[in-house]
Amino acid sequence: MKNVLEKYLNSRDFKYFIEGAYMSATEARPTDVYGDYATAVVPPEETRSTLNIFMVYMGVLAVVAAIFAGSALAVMYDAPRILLVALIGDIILAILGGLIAYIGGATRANTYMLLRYPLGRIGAMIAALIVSGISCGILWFAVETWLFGVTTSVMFPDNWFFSIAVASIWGGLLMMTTAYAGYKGIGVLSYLTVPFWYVLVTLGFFAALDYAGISPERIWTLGPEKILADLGPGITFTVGLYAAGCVITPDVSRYGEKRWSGSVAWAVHVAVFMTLLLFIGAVMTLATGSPNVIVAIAQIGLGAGALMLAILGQWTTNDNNLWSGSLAFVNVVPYFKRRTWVLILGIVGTIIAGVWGGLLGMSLDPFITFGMLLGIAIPPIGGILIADYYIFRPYVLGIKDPTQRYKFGPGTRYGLINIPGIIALIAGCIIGYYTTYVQVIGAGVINSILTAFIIYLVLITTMHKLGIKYEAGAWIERPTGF
Amino acid sequence: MIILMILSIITLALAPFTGHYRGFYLCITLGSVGLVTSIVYIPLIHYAKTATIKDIGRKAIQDIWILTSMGIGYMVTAFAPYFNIVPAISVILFLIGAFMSIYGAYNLIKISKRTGLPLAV
Repeated sequence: MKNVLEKYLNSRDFKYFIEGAYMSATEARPTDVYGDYATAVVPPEETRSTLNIFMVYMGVLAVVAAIFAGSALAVMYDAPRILLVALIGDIILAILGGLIAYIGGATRANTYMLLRYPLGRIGAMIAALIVSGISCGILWFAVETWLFGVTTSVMFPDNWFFSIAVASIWGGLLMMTTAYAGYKGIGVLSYLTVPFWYVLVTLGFFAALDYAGISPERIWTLGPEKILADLGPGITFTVGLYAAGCVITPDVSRYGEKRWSGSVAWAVHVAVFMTLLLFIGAVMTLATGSPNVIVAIAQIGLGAGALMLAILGQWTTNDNNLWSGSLAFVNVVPYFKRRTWVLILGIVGTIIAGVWGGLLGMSLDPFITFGMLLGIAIPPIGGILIADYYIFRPYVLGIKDPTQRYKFGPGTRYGLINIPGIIALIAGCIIGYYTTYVQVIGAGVINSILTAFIIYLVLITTMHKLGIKYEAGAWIERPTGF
Repeated sequence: MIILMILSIITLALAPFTGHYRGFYLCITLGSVGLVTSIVYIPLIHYAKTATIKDIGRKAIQDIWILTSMGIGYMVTAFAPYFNIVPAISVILFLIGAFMSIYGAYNLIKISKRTGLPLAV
């Protein structure tokens, strides 16, 4: 015990902690110690165009799973209703994600830094693990890598190189490369992939329908035997698909040259293109019985195109999962740089996909279930962040300037725990879980966001007005930004 | 960028000669994306009020990226059996796609180095 204590007291981080405590915010300069500004704000010279932000978001969306999700809507609605439900749900996502993306654009900080204010420093660490560290960086990276292996094995069933196990391993390693390179690598891959991916998916969609003998006019007459009259479940489903993605928009939007770059890019990509992909998946299911447009593309003789769609689509999404996960872990455990975390998380995820799922043929359902459970906590975190930034800071604390509401830099003081934030998060999770899995009441995701939003505002405003401390403990930001 | 626009126009011109309606629609789609992108970006570059090299370079990089990406689309669809394109036109489309990708990549790197802008601006 004594050895452990001595080792800590002599460690670099403790010395930084002591130095940081005496360093004023005006003297300190944020430095990019960990890479990709994991613990620092993005400087103006590193910002990118709105088109770049748009391409990165589109790259995240360009994934087979988004098309598959449309098949769930095909069970409930006919084509016109599918379009309406997807559009309404995606407009809700556009608003939610747009609001949060703006916070990243105004402050130039990533999600895990932003959460220091509404949840406290320790609360932000826990949230970082929930939102990205474990969920995106390990679980969804593993699941998406495995799905990649499954897709290629279906396309090329007799080729060992495209078997689930082998394809998962080389696919996982491929996806790690751009995550390792960082935002620059992700941007390049997104620019390269996005235009041709979306054009090819649309071409493939019409080609598959044509092959099945269905004309574009007939699309609007397609539907299941029994059509649901209520649009609510479909909208709930659509919002639930990408609610988690809304919360981590600042990871990318902080690079926008304008404050609103991320908001506009997010809103357009989700309202227009996510609706398109859901529609494609749904109509493919109604018309051909399978939403797998990529396999359909392969079967009608577009083999190389299908392979490129599968590889590049999964790659552009999964590298973002891993990259966000690495940013989150840097904000929790400061001993490794971002790139090291990419290697650690990437190797773990690839082993889960290739060995557990591929070689051993074990089900990834436990990982998916755990990921979905963690996912219950993500929307309330978004609700708390919106409440804190857009209501509490400007209207209760009087900080009207959007760029001044959250400040970062060595010497900055944060609470260890923001009590209303943690209570609101727990309440949001309970309501979200209950109204999704126990007794379905409205949209579980929306319920959890609203619950967290309202409880946070009521608690923190009341405590502030009564002069009660709502932050417990203190954390001083170190010179490393941690 | 002018060269890439001309290639898009050539693609549109090849549409009637593909020998099948599927090939026709493919050429129309690929050529239209390239042409529309060029029509949007070339005036933005040539008639921009500001003359800084970085502003011009940024728009040029964005335009070239879209066309470079579409070059990949040309290459993977040119010989796809589904489109039933006559072999000669398939070869031309493939070569157009290969040229767009390689020439586009070359220009991206050149402009990036000359202007100091990142590749994915």
